[in-house]
Amino acid sequence: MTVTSDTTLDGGPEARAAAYLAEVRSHLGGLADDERDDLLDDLTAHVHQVAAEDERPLAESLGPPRDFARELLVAAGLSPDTPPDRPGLHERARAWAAARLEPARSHPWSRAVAEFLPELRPAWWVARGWLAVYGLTLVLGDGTTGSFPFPEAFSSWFLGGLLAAVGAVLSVRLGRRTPRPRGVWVLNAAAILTVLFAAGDVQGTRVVYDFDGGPVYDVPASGWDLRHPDGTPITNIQPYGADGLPLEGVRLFDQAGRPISLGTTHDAMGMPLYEEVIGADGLPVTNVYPARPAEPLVIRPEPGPTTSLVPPPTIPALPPTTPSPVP
Amino acid sequence: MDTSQLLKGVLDLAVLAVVAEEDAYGYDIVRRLREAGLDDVGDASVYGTLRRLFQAGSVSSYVVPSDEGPHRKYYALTPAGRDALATGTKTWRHFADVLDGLLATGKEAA
Repeated sequence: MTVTSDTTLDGGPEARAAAYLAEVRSHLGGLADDERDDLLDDLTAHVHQVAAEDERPLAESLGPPRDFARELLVAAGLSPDTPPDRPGLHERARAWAAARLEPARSHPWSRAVAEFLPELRPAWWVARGWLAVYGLTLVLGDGTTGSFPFPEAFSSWFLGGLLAAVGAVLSVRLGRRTPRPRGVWVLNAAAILTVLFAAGDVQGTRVVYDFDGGPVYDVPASGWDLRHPDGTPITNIQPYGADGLPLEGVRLFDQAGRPISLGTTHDAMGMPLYEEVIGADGLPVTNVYPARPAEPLVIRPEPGPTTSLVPPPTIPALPPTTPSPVP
Repeated sequence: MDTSQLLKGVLDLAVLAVVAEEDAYGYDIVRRLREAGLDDVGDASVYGTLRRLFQAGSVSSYVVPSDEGPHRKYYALTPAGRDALATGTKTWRHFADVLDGLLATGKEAA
């Protein structure tokens, strides 16, 4: 009689027993060969008898082969309450990190901090609930954080505050539950991400770290009044005359005589983006083009919206039929 | 309460008791444990326990040919196993008395 594992379900008792035993054997990989044979020798008669007297599949009457093997090892004292395989990457990484951190951990100062930290836990529970709701309003809203830490839900501070308070209460309830519910890390991660995002987003400006490691203050793309139809902010205007030559000091007004300004004149650090032009009346003039970029604080390796001028391709002169504004 | 957790601590004693009553092979031991009321006992746990008891010298084994199937390995209690059973029984009695007492006080309070 040939015995193959696919006879487990429809083969005779002998075949079912043999297939089951082969599976159990495959889960006893951590043992020495003779030890494994020894264990299985004892079991062979047993599994055959169970298969002969019980119509049900062996995986049902004896349990899945994997569980059977583990139970066998644990009861025989051959294995701690874990699978016999060598520790996974996760455990080994953890052990390695623990060994490296040991000197720092045993320092009296860090021990004092470690003793004190658990007392802060309830505060963290409140904070993370609040932050998670705040993060949610950021994701669902327009993403501005000017109101940190007060969330705005459905354009209402009151509703936002209420939701955040509910979030804090729920978070505390989760925190008090033992054992620690699985998936709490999602909440913790959401709260930490929110803090990181908000910290980098003070005054609506995102901090981008360049490859040299220094923070670079990105010019906010949302502060510009003028935009192309595709949404690209217009950060400067280069006027050219009919003769195809660039003009300087051109002032632009709309149909009603209102000055046309670029909008954002300061970066996140409060530094002017353009050289300020003061009119004869002593007031700043904001519609002089091309605007002269101020000395940039940091030169971005990969600029976002830039205030500096890129010369356009050749500007052809207009045909002379253009009426001259000067009589 | 989950009996399988309780069983872990006392399976040695239960197996020793069954074998002390009469020499037995594995399948028989599992059946007799279940008949005695330990419905949750796992086949693998019993075999693992037997192996450990054998290595500790508490039980010995001998093979008896069977006409219906493979040979059967019978287990018998050794003198050391008899001592282990006696000590274990004493420990268990004490433990059970303590717990009975605790549970009785708890019942009065409740």
